[in-house]
Amino acid sequence: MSITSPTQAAPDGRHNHRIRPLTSARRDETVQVVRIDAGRRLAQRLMELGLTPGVIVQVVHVNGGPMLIAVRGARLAIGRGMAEKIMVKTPEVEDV
Amino acid sequence: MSEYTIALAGNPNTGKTTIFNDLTGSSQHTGNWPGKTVARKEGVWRTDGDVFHIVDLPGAYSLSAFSAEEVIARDFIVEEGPDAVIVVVDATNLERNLYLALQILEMTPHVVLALNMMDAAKAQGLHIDMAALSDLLGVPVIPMAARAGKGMDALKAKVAQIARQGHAARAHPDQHFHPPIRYSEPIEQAIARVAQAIDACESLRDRYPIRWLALRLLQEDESCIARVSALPGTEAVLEQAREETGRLQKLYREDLDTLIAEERYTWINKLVNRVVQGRPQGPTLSDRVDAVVTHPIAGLFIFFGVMWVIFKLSTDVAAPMVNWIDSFVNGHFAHWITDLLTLAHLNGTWASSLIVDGLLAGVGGVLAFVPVLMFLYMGMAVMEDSGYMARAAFVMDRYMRKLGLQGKSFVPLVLGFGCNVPAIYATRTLENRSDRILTGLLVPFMSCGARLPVYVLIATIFFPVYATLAVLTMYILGIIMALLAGLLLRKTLFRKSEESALLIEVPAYRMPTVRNVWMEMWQRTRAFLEGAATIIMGVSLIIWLLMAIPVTGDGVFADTPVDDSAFAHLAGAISPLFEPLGFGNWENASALISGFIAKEVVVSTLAQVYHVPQPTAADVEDLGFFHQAAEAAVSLVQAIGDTIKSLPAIIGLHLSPPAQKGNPPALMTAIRQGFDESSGGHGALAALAFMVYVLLYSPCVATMAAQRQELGARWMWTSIAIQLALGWIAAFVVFQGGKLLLS
Repeated sequence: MSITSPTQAAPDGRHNHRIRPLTSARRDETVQVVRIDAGRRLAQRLMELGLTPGVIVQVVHVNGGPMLIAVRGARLAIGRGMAEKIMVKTPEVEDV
Repeated sequence: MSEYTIALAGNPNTGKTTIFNDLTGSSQHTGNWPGKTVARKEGVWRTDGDVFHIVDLPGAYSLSAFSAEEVIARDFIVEEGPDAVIVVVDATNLERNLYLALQILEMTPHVVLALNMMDAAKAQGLHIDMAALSDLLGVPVIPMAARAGKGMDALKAKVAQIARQGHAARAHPDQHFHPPIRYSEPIEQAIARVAQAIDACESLRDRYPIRWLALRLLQEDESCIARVSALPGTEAVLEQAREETGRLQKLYREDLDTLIAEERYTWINKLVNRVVQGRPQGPTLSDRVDAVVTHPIAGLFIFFGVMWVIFKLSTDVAAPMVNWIDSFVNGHFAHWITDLLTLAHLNGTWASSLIVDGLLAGVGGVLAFVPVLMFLYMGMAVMEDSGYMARAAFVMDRYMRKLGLQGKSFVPLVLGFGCNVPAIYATRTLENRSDRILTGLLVPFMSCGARLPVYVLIATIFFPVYATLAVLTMYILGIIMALLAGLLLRKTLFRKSEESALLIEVPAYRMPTVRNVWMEMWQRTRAFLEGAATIIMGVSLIIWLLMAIPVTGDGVFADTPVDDSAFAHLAGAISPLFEPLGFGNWENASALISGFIAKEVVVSTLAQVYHVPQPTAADVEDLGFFHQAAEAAVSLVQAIGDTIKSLPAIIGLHLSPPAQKGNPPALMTAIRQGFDESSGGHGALAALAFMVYVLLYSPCVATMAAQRQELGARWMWTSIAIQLALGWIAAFVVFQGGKLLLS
């Protein structure tokens, strides 16, 4: 597994595969982690909690404050500052 | 008889505590890990004449040694080499839980996997192939439902067996064992080459699991490199590791941390797909409940409701028990001691004064906290055990973030309004040490219950019409000062510490078990008694001594009027400090000194030093011992009854009329005169400054003791310094600023 390179905008005109922070995801949206833009310590912690590149994440609740996400069968509460460092994209259909 | 050491490891919320409680029962002991403020829980389990010491490792999601908890858990496994490690995993969440299990399997082969919450897994329609799981991991797997007590016997039997094997292997430890995972070929080759270098190194060969050490060195784990380089003849190993790391970094575009984490999860994912059938579909019941509980508005109401209940439990509901302990220790018990002293012909001597007024007062001061703490810990344990704590943190996070703190910090701060002591202990639920310290430093700004009588007394004397407003202002001022202090500390002492951020698992809701709640309550209360009792007793004795020593007048040791005692002279000596604040006479200073011990005694000290006769609390009739014992028992029953009766007070119902305790008018007049004189005619301003000072200076010895226990001596002194300085400055601003405005 290696980092998927950023792909061009989807044909329907939506920027589907644009790499964006997790905070941009809406409630019930499913996204795929691309990379973590944080220091070694934090990146390692997030990855060990299951947020490795390529993993599928579902946003359970978000209301402007922290985010509640489902990843690898667990629910994680993530503060907004931290969620901004998790870069995601809309997954390819076959990855879900 | 043989003795074995077993380590208990697992993610938080896996039922690890339940298993620990079940294994060790009442033999538990809580202390701290050497040199750390992380709790170390230990207990003993005996079987077939053998003794098994169970060490509960701190709950962690991984063992990469990035937090104090992780370092402790890792060091215990690789340095101390327990005979067996029990890894508790949540069967409903195998994928995430197996990450830690896999890391442990890279450290030791003597592992038993306790596959807990099998009942919940079954309810979700999951089927787990035990034989395949055990086969793929290479260790025994025991299916369990610990809360229902299922699987404990099988676990015990297997752990005993593995521990005996592990113990036998101790003489010739096999550091060459191979964990179940194989990384991709380039990594494996690098591991093999570093392992070869380690194997050739005399001082490393038998010391650490070779493959584990090789991988840690490749990942440039600083603590491992430091430890290895401290040993002789390890240069070649470190050189080899550096070379291999460089090679791997060139080969892969990702860093090694990411690569290893990915490969572990990929391996686990494959394993889970093979052994687990059926996947939970759609939102779970927990998710549906959370839609309300974590809602920004509804969730806030629920949170305040829960906090209100805990607050009420530790104040109103605990109050009858606190009063009973107080009257028992200072009444009947003091009386029995006096009787005993009379028998020993010691009554009336300094020794009897030391025991009754010094020691017993201290004991009473310590024991009075027990009911408060027990109710608080009960509430906290229910919050933790049910899984609600994670939701509370989630809801409060957005507000606490402005203070540079995360959501969970709100809980100790709210509890501080009841009593600062349990609030300090409640900081233990925060994972991050700098969060714990910062929160522990802000707790004293929360105006606790003991400060209220002081405000009420002073406000009724000087601001009879606006008394309520004046008291409320104190509470609000405390919050504002906490906000300012929090921001200031973040910018200064905590500038370099990691920005606090919320990152916690939100477990499925569970019914809290009586056993877990009881154990938690009892353990923590005992830790308070063991840790804080000494400091509280010590300070009580010092105050007694100061009051006992006559400096002027013709009193003798332990029988001298307050005015002539060393205490009064000490108060007189420091009173000039309070002159710029408007309340610099020795009477006020002595009330503030005793308030440093406990705010509860400020009012009674004022009465004492302003020479107003006080009704004595401990008027016990001279009855026989058995009669008194019976009376004490009856009053205990009454206290328990009152406790139960005050439960409805949580929702605002009062079954028993609240006791009215007025202050004698003579005291009020004396205090008014005292303040008028010390402030040069600005009595009301000085009184307001006095209230502000009482709000802000160090709350009590018990809080300090708690801070020393939880945060360490250095931070206790820091907190004392902050409170004394801020209190003085704020009172100065009120008094001098007020004078300027009024003139």
